[in-house]
Amino acid sequence: MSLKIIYHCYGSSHSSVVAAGIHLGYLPKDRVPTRQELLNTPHYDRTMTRDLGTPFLFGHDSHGFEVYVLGRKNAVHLVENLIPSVLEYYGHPTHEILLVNALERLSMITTAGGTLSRGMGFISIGRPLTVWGIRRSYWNFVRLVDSVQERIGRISLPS
Amino acid sequence: MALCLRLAKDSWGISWVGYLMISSTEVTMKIVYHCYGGSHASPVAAAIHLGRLPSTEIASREELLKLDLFDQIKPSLQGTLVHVGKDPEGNEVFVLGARNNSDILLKTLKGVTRIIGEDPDDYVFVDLRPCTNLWMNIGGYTSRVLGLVSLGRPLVSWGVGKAYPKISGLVQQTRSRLGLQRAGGK
Repeated sequence: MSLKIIYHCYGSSHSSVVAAGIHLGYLPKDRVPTRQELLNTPHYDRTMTRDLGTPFLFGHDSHGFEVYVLGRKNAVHLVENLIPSVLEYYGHPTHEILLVNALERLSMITTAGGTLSRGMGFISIGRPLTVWGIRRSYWNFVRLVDSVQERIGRISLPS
Repeated sequence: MALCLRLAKDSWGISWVGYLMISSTEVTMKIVYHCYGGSHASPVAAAIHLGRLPSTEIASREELLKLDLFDQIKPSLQGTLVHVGKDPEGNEVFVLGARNNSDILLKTLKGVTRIIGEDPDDYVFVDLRPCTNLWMNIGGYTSRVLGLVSLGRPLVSWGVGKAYPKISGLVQQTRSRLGLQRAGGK
C-alpha cells in the first residue's frame, strides 16, 4: 500500500511547506536554513486564497510515499473527520492517509507575517516576517518531521 | 458529465439530440447535501431526495424524529461525510456538516478523492444553509452545542417545519437539474 502524508496548516504557504520541505530533504535537518534557502523552497509564501482546501503534491519521500500540503484555514477537526470518512466510503484503509498538523508549534511572528503577505497582499513586509518567524521556531518543525518519519518507518518496516 | 450536458442544454438550448445523449448515458452522481452542522437541514433534504419524507406536504414532527440522522451529529463529528443511501436512479446521497467552511471542505473532499485514485468529478454539492431559519439555528445550537436536547429538539423540529417548503424546493430543483424524476411523495 502506498502511504500518503498530508501536512496541513492554515494557509498552506508557510508551516506545512516548511515541514514538507524538511521531510523531502529540500531543507536541512541539522541547521537552521538561510533566508534564501527558505524563499527558494517550492510554494513558500506563494499559495493564493483560492488554492485553500486543495491538497497538492509536494514530492515523493525516500520510501516512495507521496507528500502533500494542504491549507485548511481553521477547519482542523472538520478536515480530520472528513478524510477518514472519505477513505472509509471508498473502501480504502483509513491509515492510507497520514494527516499531520503543521501549525501546532508556530511562532506568532509567522502568523502575523503570513496574514500580511497572503491575507492582505503586503508581501514586502509580510514575507521577511514569516522567514524570521520560521527560523526562530525551526527546530520545532525538525522535531515534528522526525516524529512523523519515525512513525512512517514503523509502518513501512513490516511490508 | 451528465450534469454538464444537462446544464449546457439548459443554458444554450441545445435540442433533443443532447437530451438523448443524456438519457442514454447512465452516469450516477454523488449528491452531497451540506449545511452548518449536518444534523438538521441536510438530513431532511437527503430524506426528501430518497423519498423517506414527503415532498409536497410538510413532514410531521414524528416523521422527522424517526430519521436516523436528525439532530444526532455532535459538533465533534462535524466534517464527517455520512452516506445516507442510494436513490432509485443509482445516485449516492450524502450528508455533510461543513460549518461555514464548505468552500474549503468541498475542495478537500474532491482533492482527497482524486489522491486516492477515485473519480472526483461526479460530486454534486447542495448547500442547505440558505434554507435554514433563526429557529433552526437557535434550536440546533441549544440541542447540539449546549446539549439541552429536551429544549432544543422541539424548537429545531418546529423550525424545520417552517423551512420545509424551501428545503423540499431545493431538493426538487437539484433532482430536476440532474434529470431525475420529482421525488415521490409519501
